[in-house]
Amino acid sequence: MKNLQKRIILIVTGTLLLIGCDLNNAPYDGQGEEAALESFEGIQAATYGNYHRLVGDGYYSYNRSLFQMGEYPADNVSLSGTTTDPLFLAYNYNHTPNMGNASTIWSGAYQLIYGTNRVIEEVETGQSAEQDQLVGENKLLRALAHFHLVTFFARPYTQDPNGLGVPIKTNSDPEELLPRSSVSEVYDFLVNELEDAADLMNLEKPNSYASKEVAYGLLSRIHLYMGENEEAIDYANRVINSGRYELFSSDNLENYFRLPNESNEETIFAIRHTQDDDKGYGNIGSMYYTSPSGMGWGEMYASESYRNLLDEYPEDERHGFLEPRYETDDNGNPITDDNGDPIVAKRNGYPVWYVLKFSYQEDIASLSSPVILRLSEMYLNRAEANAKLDNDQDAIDDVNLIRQRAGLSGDALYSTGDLKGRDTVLDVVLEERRLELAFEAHRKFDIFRNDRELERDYPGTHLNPSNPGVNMEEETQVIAPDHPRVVFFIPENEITLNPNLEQNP
Amino acid sequence: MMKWIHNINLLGLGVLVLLPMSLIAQDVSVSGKVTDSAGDALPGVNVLIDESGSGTITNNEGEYQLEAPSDGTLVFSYVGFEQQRIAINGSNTIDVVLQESTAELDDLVVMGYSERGLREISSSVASIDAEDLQDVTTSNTTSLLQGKASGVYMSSTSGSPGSTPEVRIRGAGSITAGSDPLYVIDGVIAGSGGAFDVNMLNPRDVESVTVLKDASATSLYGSRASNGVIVITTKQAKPGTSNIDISTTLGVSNRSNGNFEVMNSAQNYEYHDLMGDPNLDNSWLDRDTDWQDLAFDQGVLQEYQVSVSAGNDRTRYYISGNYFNEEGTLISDELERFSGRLNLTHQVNDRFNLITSLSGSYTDNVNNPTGALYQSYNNLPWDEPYREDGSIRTGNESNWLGRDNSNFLYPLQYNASNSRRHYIAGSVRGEFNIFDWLYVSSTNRATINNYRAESNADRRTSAGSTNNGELNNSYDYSSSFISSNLIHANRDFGDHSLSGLAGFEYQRSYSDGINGTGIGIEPNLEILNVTAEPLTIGGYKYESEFFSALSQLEYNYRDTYFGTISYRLDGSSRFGVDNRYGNFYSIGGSWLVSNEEFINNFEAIDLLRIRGSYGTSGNAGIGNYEHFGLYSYTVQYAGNPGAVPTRIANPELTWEIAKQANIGIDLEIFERIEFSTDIYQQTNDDLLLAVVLPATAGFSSRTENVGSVRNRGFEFELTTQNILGDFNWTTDFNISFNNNEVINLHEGEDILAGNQRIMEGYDKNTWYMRKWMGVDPETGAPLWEVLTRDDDGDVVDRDVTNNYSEATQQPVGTATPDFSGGIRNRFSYKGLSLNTFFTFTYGNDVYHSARQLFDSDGAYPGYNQMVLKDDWSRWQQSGDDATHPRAVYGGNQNSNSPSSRYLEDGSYLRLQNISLSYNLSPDVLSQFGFRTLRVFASGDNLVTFTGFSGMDPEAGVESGTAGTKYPISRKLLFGIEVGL
Repeated sequence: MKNLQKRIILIVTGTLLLIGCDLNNAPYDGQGEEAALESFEGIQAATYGNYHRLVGDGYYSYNRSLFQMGEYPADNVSLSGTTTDPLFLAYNYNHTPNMGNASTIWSGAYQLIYGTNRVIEEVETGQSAEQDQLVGENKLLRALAHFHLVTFFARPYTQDPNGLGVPIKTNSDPEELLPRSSVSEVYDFLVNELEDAADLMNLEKPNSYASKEVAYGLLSRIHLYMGENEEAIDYANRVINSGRYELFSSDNLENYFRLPNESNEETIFAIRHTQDDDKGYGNIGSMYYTSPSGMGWGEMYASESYRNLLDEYPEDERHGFLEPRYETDDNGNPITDDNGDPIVAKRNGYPVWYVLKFSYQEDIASLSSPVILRLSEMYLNRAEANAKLDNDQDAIDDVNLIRQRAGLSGDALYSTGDLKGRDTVLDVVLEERRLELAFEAHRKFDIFRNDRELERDYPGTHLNPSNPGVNMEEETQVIAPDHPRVVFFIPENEITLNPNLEQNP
Repeated sequence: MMKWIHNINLLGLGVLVLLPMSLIAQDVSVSGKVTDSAGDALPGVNVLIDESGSGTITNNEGEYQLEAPSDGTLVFSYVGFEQQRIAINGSNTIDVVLQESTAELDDLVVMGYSERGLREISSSVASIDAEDLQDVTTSNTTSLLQGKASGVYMSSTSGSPGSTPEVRIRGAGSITAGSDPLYVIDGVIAGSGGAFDVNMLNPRDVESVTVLKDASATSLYGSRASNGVIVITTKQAKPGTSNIDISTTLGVSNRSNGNFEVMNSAQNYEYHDLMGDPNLDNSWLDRDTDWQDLAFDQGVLQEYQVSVSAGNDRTRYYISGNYFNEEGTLISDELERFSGRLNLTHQVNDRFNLITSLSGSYTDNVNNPTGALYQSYNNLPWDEPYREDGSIRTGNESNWLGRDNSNFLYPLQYNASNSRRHYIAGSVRGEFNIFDWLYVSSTNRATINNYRAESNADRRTSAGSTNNGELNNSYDYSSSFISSNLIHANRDFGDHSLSGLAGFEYQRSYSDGINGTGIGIEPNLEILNVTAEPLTIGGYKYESEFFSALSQLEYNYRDTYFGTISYRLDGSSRFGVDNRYGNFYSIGGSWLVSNEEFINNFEAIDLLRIRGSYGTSGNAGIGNYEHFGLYSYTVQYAGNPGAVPTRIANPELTWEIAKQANIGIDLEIFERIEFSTDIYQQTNDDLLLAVVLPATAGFSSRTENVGSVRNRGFEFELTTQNILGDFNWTTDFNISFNNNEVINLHEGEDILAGNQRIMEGYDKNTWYMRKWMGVDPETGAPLWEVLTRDDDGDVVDRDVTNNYSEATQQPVGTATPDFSGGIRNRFSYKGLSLNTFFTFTYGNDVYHSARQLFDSDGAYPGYNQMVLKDDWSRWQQSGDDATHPRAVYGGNQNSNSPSSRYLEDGSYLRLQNISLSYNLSPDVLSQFGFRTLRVFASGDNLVTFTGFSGMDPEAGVESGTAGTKYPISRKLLFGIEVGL
């Protein structure tokens, strides 16, 4: 009996010792935060990860909010109904401090910034061109994220450089509670950062990635936004003269956005989406288009005022980016009016004019790689800057270049002596920017940074008496450039978490 | 004191062999036969020498033999029978007739590691036997508990077959970490929350459920026991029996609509007219589609169970097979399950017992692959589902009016979403006696769980059109292994009795899975191999380990004073390298006052006990790798593998600890009234908290050990035998009050949780929204409250505004009920019995979020709306004192944005079950060779009394949010149970 007892005690303690383990389990879906950045390959993967942040995850992804909040508050679009999606509030100016899309941008941008800070902190420059390139790309992405933040959450630079900007985050310290820097501090940071990035990036990277030209392109836009016109022209020229890009051909223009980045000679930088990134109804294109088989919400249409502008020249190839939906009977056959013409279908009484700039990449209705920078914008940046410097001829030349590419010629072109009823050359340029860059998240900023009023005198659900600036009798919504809702509220959660943050009025 | 159980089998399923030992001189050999009152032999009866605690059990013929002191006393005890004590007085033969005890079963409580007579218990437990458990018909064992035990609060979030309600024992003390109780099956930890799916257990195999609530009961489970423990015991044969039981249940289920109604064509027309819909067309009135009728249908439920249980003194087994099939009330929603179990125990020799169990189930789920549920609430009555020729419209027609352009009937033709699960659990337990007072046991269980799901989006449907048809397959596998190895001791020293256990446990859980989507597939094909190309592929692996050492010592003096102390050391791989191990302990005591001499003066008192305990337990209910700083490689950019930082390291992360004190009193008087009450306080410290970080940190949150939450409560259980005799009436009643308060948080910072906010000094589930102030009688505009605060944060002025952004967010209610409970009345007359069971919940606020859509004052003209409740009214003209703002086409100043407007009282009283059954008398049955025959008719959830405006006031324990809910079903069932 004694022996047995001993044996059992031995067995039990023995097993205890054997199993009394360190319980060390590591996750399978990645690497430790230190180990991940130890090699060049790790830095490369982390950089791809940072690009991925621009795509974003899930239905309410970063790029979706970026292109909706950048475009919907302007006059190119008309919403045909109400929706639970906070894009509704961006569209109708009924902002709330807890809009999910504003949170997506705010958090998404700082997540991207954190990722870039980790790489920039970890990698020493001057070791190899490849490493320098990666640091440059990260610096560019860091600047781009700050640029998104400052344009959405701070008033235009041209209105008040000393106004409240956004926190500038250049380290990976999670504890820091940063206050908002001023707008000019943020823009100065952007300029320095992008100049650095341009110096570091010396490899020729395809247009799904950052490169020296992407830095120059952004610098051109940023200087334009700052009212620094010479610099805007200088950087536009550097891109134009780089020889890397050429304007997309006129006769094929409607297919511009159907080509993947690498096949498009005009795109300078676009957020590459593969089929893996296809978010179905969550894609940017979903709100603009419903495919014949029903994919996509198809609730946001080209506005009547945009269509009227485009219709001034029926031969304008940019009509190819719009497509009406026609009434059909239950068997799918078109219904015609008394003249035998098809009838444009209506949703809630609003004519259905689809926008096709975010559909049919690689023939997939819901897929697109939204364009951040393209050559046309460089010409139009240069045109706007020249117009402001009173170099009217140069401005008109660039506008005409873009119009010719759109298939316009002869009378459809401007000359300094024939502004076709437009008051100023700047008006001509801004109108051309509207026509060319419509739906690409430019228009809102172009209006307000130039201290102009937004006027939406066309049908759409923005015409509701409870929305700001609406006059129901005149059927218009007017937002003045000094209106507080030209910028979004900082998400109220963030104000709670960081007492140093000041909310927008 | 006749019912007093001295020392029931120590462990698990039951028979512990205690060897006779020649300890004292002058022993005599005693033998005899034990029979029941009918004269049938009783095998497996415990025969113990009172003085030494040693003894034996009767053999197959009910006979026993042992050596005992000639002046000793023998104690005969057997589950289900009254215990008898007989003095030996030198005799060599003692035959005993044991009297059956109906109450006895209730008195035996399975505590997980051990089994205790009810009167030995120093802790707070609630025990429910099979009969009370199985009144409702469900595939889910958890659902059986609703309303039946004090301290247990439940709320279901879906009425879909097989869905599991949320369960909280004595409130939730954790914020980020899970609050699900720990499940223990047949003495071994099975898991909690996501790690363990209680759906895998066939409810018909359950013998009893014990809920362990206070620290003295739970701390032996140290790790993961802070949310309480639910101990489930499966059925086992009794020695000397050979029974076959067959039961059949058939029934129908219908959705319970509650107070909810969607508008019909004319009602919706009137509403659109009121809001000035510019597109309104009176031809729409020609159409009146009831989308709810299209989405819901009567479901059929059927269940068949056969079980065989038999055994002798050495070997016993219980075998069961079960088929369960329930159609949901939503169309195309069905659960089908086959399950089987073999419980086998065998006494290998005098020293060695083997207890084994093997169970498995196969579950097949058909899920509705469309938005039928959502659309049933929101589609317009003006859209017709069918064309004139009877074919189904897509919803994408240019003249479709509803805002989502969707007719769920269309994709339902082509798309499917199915899943199936195989689950196997096997356990082996060995018990080896070293001395009559000491034995070792080793319990080992392995489980394997295979889950497969497949779904498709046919190319003819909008979802499948993009990629010319899609097919998704996923495989998930998980396994777990647990080994529990213990030494048990039990010895009496005169009036002193000591027992204890010590040992260690190791648990490992593992899971992996893959999923893939292929695109380009012809209709009606359903394997990935026929897709043209892959779209996505994914996969994962997880593992976690626990290691624990545990010990417990129990003492009692004269069966009157009881004390328990326990200690447990737990380590988990989920915590940081510096802090993996946690220590947990408890101390408890009870005084069985009714065992004292002086109490004999009070004839009415049958039992009086005072209990008290204090102790700690832990919670590890977080993800497997929360301490690990991670770059996740789960993303790509332009087809290149990418890595994103997703977590900051926290090497100090450790156990969340719950400290709980409990005081209770149990009282039985007049042999008719049983009363039990408990007061407790549980404080969870070092909460595992996802501390929300400002966005500039780069991460949304980091899991840290900060903060504490306190739950205090009061529980009350009462069982009365109101009328005894041919006509019997008994009542069981329980009620629980729990008060929850967040004591402190990370630097006092509030935690935002959707429409709730976690704040120091408030209930954990406090609604924090703009406060609805009704409708401006002049304009019909919505009004909210604006608070003006001074520098100290005190409110100095209250005003109203019709600007949503200006309104002040503030606490406006809680999702936590003031009290909940259940009441059962059982009436019987001869073989006929009527059983009614009500559950109730009072004082919780439910956020009826779906009203943002279907009670939205014109904000969603493209959605159908709910019919306003009787006491609601719509503002129409100046001066109207209305509950609802003016309806404005396109919305009235964010009137439907989240606010306390949609917060409703979630109190309800529900007739959860009523059943009428008839037991044929054994005399009649025996002529036909039947042992028992019972027929019954039963109704589940037939009536609910509530003011809630939705279909069903149950909205989940913590979220408290009712969306477009899948309502619970009302069931009418008929059954027959035959015993052979």
